[in-house]
Amino acid sequence: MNILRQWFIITLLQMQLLGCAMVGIGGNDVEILKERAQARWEALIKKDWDAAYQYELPAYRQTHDVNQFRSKFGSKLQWKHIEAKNAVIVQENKTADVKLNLAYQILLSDGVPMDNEVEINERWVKQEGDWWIAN
Amino acid sequence: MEKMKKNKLAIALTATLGLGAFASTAQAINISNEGVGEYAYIPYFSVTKGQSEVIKLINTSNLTVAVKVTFRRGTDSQEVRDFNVIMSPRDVWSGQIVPSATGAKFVTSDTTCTVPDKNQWVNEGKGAYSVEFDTTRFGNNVSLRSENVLTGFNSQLISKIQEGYVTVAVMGVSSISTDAVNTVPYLAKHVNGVPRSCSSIDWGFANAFASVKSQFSQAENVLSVQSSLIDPARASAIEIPVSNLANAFNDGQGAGFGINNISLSSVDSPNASNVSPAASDVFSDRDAKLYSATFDAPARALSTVFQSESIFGAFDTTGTAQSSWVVNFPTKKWLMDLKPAVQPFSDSIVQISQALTDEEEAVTVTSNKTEFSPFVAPVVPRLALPFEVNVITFSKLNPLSSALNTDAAQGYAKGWQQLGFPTAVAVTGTVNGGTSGGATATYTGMPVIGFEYNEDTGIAASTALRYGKNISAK
Repeated sequence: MNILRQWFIITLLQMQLLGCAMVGIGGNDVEILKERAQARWEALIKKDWDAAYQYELPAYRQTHDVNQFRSKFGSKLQWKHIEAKNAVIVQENKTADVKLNLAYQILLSDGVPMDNEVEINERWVKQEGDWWIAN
Repeated sequence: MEKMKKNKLAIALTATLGLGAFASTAQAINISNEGVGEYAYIPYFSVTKGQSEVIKLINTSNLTVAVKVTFRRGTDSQEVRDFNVIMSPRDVWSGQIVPSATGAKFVTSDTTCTVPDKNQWVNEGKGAYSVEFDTTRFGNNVSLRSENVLTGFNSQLISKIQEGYVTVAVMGVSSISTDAVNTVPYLAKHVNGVPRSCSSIDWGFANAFASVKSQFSQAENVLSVQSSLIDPARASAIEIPVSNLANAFNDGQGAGFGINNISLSSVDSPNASNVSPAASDVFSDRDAKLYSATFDAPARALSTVFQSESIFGAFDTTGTAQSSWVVNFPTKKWLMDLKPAVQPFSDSIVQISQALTDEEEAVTVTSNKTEFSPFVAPVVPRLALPFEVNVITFSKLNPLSSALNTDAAQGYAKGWQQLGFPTAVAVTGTVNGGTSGGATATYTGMPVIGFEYNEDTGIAASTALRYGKNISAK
């Protein structure tokens, strides 16, 4: 009886672990979107332009190299921290909106640095089975 | 709680203190050469592209300063939100306009006292508080004399406020010591980084307003205002050229405690109609003269400070470059509302003449060759700017994503443009004192402030538009 019970519990745990792994591999779109948006911004904060470039739409990457991608960004402020707050699927398997909190520091005209935090909204689109930044 | 009661009581009693009186000289409103004044215009705010606009106030004095911050929609200057800020000596206060579901809101993490107090704002967490811009108070009602602009309006513009401008007014200053227990200066003073009791000041405004007012005297030139338009996701930012005005709200000689423009946060005051005295000091480069004159209305005096015969600046739409000009007529609402005279405005829609030049001096308005008679002169291009804040775009590119836009249709990808005001009605005033005292001073053009905005990939810059003044006295 005890052996049977142990087997049942172990099987249950294995099933739960398998379930978690399946979510991790296939994932759900909301979690994937948050992870990708977070990872993209962490690359931007590190100024790892090659890594951040990989989240651009395939069509954009065909016509723009990483230097052109880099030139979209200025240097008037320093990004400090990013936190993906939530993702909302706008159109199943097509478009989604991701909200993030971005902390940055800027030097105002009086030369005094100012720390600031804003919410930013990003539109992501799904193509070729994955999500890409659209704006 | 006991302390709070005591504070409130003290606010009510402070009016009885012997606080002396300021002796000050009545002066006329003028552009501050030092960037420090009593009244400031931030000519443009925008959140149309997810930007945020930072506003920073610096109290440069050892006085406690009561400030009114007012946000106005760009279509017709109707107020969409205001509040009071009580700054202790040498205090710095900041906050930002950010996008919201209904258009825009103001957010601050600054601990400086505001009226209404932060407990009436929306708690955003992490010490930040916000207040939404109001889109319901005026609805589709445009300002009194702007009815004929209605064709230029669409409901989107006023149902979701994303563009406009900001005024910052010193309502009054207090020289009461920050150690004078339970006075407004005492309660506003930061101790260990936090004011002593903002809620008590809020209570005072609501329940002992006369006492609060009695602790302040008229405005002084103590406030510096800065603003930056920031696109955080693109790491780009521009400085917004702020017009800091000195001597805007000086009621007269010998003004003392209790004589000021302190108003409740629920009241749209002080504004252009409260400029006092109704006089201005304007320096004209053309004849190197200072024109000091008095006018029939406060807003007209303010108007002459900004009045220009023409404005000019540059544009570039070559390659990936884009340009826009922000053109703000800051006194239009108040002058259009004055009856019967409307000088310098003859209509709500401001007609603009254009003189355009590319970088090779080619021009659109004059002929550069001999002509047979009868010669038909080329038509001077004209724009019609319907709003109080207008964004002129070039080559139909709209880098600020403005809904208040009018395209210049300039014909050149790159060059410069001079805008004149052919329908402006000259403003007249009476020259103050001196050898010309009593003569009539005439100011031509329109009251206008603004800046040119230029961007290319990853780079954005702003510069104030250049103004040409034309004043004469007879």
